[in-house]
Amino acid sequence: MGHFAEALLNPEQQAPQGVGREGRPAPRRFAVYRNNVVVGLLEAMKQAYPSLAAIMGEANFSKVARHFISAHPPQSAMMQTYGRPFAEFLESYKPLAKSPFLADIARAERAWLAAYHAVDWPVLAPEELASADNPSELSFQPHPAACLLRSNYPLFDLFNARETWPCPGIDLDEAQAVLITRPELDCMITRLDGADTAFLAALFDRQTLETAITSAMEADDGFEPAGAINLAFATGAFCSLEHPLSQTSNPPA
Amino acid sequence: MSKKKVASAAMIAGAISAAVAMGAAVQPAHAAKIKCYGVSEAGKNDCAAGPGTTCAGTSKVDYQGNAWTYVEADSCEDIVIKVDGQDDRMGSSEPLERDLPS
Repeated sequence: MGHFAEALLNPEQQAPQGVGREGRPAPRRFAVYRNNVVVGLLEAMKQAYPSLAAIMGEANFSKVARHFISAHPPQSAMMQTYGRPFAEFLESYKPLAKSPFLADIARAERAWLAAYHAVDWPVLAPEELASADNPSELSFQPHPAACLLRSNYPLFDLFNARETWPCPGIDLDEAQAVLITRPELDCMITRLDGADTAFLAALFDRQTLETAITSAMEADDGFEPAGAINLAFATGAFCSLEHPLSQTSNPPA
Repeated sequence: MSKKKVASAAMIAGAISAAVAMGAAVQPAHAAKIKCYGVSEAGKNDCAAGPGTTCAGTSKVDYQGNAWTYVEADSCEDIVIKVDGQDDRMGSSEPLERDLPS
């Protein structure tokens, strides 16, 4: 089986022994099968990474994805998980070393898919925080679908290439942070400013509300805590409060 | 140079009340959204859940009758799409037989 699997993803290899009828090898039939397997995986990659495919162009994307596919046979029968390490692959892929932003796009697109398939879980209601005894000492349990990504590149604009490409005026020197969440049925991506990023990053890191507000104020004098807390509710970034001394019910990992 | 800023309990309490007052909380789950058939543009039907799912933006023609988009409940049947030189398309909460890909 080892040889069969290898030959499946590598057109340089001969058809494996035993493939054929009545002892005669059938290399052409095997080539058809091999092609179907690779095209199926390629299609999965295109559906998982539509913004990358738009930005790189279909032909370039396919070329790079084929390299990825031959090095990464599926580890699971669930197609929605296929291509998970594509960001790391892009980072180490020499021909694209001059486009380091591509790996960040891959990370955001993967987080978007993960958010779709994350467990359904209620989001934190504002009333819960409002009625808490000592809110500044509380920390927050991130929602299972939520993901915060910081990038040295305009990640929000790049991610949206799936809708907007070809779009004029993406400034590659602009750093953008994004928050990906799925408050109910639909995923959403929110662009964050520097102070909101510092605030949410601290909360995702299980710091207390007080610490998070303090670090955001250090990041930017103009930080508005009410707006940032409201943003956390509106996006559904968190699902419950964590009291320092008691256990809350957590979503399954 | 500048003294370290610390968030006070009073300021945090004020911020929380203000945030709650803004009230942009997520609506309760399954908040009155329904599947509305026959109104999605080609490839833009809802449930774009990526590979391995069959619903991912798979509609082939505009306003395909068996493709749906989530809309606020009550609003689906009010959707009327005017297309030049063709009959108006209306949304439906049931799958439709019209505009199916050939």
